[in-house]
Amino acid sequence: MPLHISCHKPDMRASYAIVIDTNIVRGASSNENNMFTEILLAFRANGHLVAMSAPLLDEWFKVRADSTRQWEYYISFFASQWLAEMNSRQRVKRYDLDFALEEQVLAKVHPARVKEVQKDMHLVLTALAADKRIISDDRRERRDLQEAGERFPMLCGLVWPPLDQVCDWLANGAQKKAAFILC
Amino acid sequence: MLSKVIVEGFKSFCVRKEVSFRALTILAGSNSSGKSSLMQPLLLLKQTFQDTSDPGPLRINGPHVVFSRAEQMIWHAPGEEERPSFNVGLELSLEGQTRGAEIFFQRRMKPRGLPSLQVTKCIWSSDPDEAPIEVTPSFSEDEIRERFPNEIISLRNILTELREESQGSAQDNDFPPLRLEVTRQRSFLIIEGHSTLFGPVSFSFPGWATEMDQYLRRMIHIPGLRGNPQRTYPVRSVGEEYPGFFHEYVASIIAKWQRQRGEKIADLNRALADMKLTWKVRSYQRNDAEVEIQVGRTEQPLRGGAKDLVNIADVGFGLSQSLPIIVALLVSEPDQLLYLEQPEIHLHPDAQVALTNLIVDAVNRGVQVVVETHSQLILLGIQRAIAQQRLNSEDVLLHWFSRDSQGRTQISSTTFLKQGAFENPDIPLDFANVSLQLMHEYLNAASHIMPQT
Repeated sequence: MPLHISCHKPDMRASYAIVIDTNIVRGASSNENNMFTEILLAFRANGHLVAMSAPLLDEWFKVRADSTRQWEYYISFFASQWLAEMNSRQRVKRYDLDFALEEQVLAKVHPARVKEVQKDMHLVLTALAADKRIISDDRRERRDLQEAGERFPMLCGLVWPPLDQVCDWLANGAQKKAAFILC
Repeated sequence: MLSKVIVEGFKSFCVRKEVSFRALTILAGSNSSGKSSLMQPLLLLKQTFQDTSDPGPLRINGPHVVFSRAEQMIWHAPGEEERPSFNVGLELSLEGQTRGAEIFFQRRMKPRGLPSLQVTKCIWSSDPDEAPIEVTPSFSEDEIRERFPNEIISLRNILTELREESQGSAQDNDFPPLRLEVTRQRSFLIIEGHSTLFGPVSFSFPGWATEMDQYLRRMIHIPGLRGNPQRTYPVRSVGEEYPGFFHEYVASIIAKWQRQRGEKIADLNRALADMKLTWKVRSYQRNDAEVEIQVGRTEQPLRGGAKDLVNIADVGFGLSQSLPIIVALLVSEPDQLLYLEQPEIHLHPDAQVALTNLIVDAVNRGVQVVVETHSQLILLGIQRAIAQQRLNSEDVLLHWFSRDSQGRTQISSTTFLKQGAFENPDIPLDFANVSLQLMHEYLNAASHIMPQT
């Protein structure tokens, strides 16, 4: 069955292993904002790979405190089905993380923000191990890493597009566009 | 084990297809794409071999497959010349040896009381290094001797040994006369040799024709339509073969398990409980001819409710329609072929997942299972079993069926990796497409009528 969403162009160019933040897979069921489901569908339609690491997967499947018992994990039912399909198609690539980098990055983060950034370090470490691309709704985290990147150039290579442009970015091959590079 | 089915010119199989099978083979795809048609040649052969009288080369109207005219079986398309023939075949792996048979059927244009089909050729194959044996009905005795010299020598050696055993080696060395002819053994063409020693003696080759016949007879078929539940079922003899409709044997199989007081009846009750269908099933013989199936009215036993049983006709279709499947999965023996059509019908998602576990258990016991399904849950359940190492990935094969613009069946296939993923990631399986698209469209539509907070 073809996908009918405008940003799903059947454009099979080079695919990248891209990190998807938990806020995307969690939000991909909300009927208040269907952008997240569109992103996941665009991701699937355009041949990209899910960059995955053990801590990231753990976070996706963390049990929600406010569980309604209908669906208990951070990852939504929609995203869970999407992930199973991606896995079936060999499009989930697992990475071991270099935790030695964590200290180096955190040393460059503003001291007041260390705790917040540390919470999402697995996202950064997975992206650094994979193809240095992140899809996330966490603008504050992006800003923190941008600042840290000025002192830790390795972070500057990360591609982190604004959410409203992710669909088109995925459809156009998830290229390293200057405007989307962290710093 | 069935390792291959061959079809050419049969229904939607316009061109020759050789389709592989493993311990667990999943047939999936859109409606009318040819999934059942792939298995129908085996079912036609089964119902032909199991007929009590000789129905001719193929019983086209039987308990498993129903045709009324031979041309209904033959590929045809507008603008194409009508074909007179089709061929079907199978390859078995029997005790480490490969044995194959391919049968060529031709439609008689004016049957006038004759069977509507005739067999024009049988090709018997064995291991790849041996040339296939081709048998046609027109072979004369001289042709048989010319074409099968090795087989004739073997027959002579057997005859000589038999004669020496009966008369002693010092007897006259004149060889007993051997008469050879091509014979139709239901759907097969074989060579028969007749001689006289101390009485008439008959031989036939290839020897594996009989093994194939027995294999097909033992095959269990659970169709998608399993009949309405009955108040009582006829008492049936229970053995390795189930001629006719399998669901008519279910009551008698359960009765046999009850008499044996073994693990089977406990396994059956456990399976039904796992599927949340009932806590108990039992057979109750009403008289010498009829047996009734009674089932627990509730999912769990109630206090004092040991006799809280009702007739199977009084409960939902989920139970009555899946009972033959569960019984078939438990009764089938290693190396027996079990073909399940749409086992998910009438089942709640929970029950479909539990049923998948029963299928996995049967495969691990050595039963060869072919599942024709539209269920994403059954497929995912199998992938989970592979990833959990409860099922060997090498034992599973998925065929995805579709039809091209001319209506010809196309098959894409994949094996599985150890993590349960498809070895062929581009297989055009569309289950996830449909559900993800539907969920997305629902969420999209719902977002427009969400109350503002």
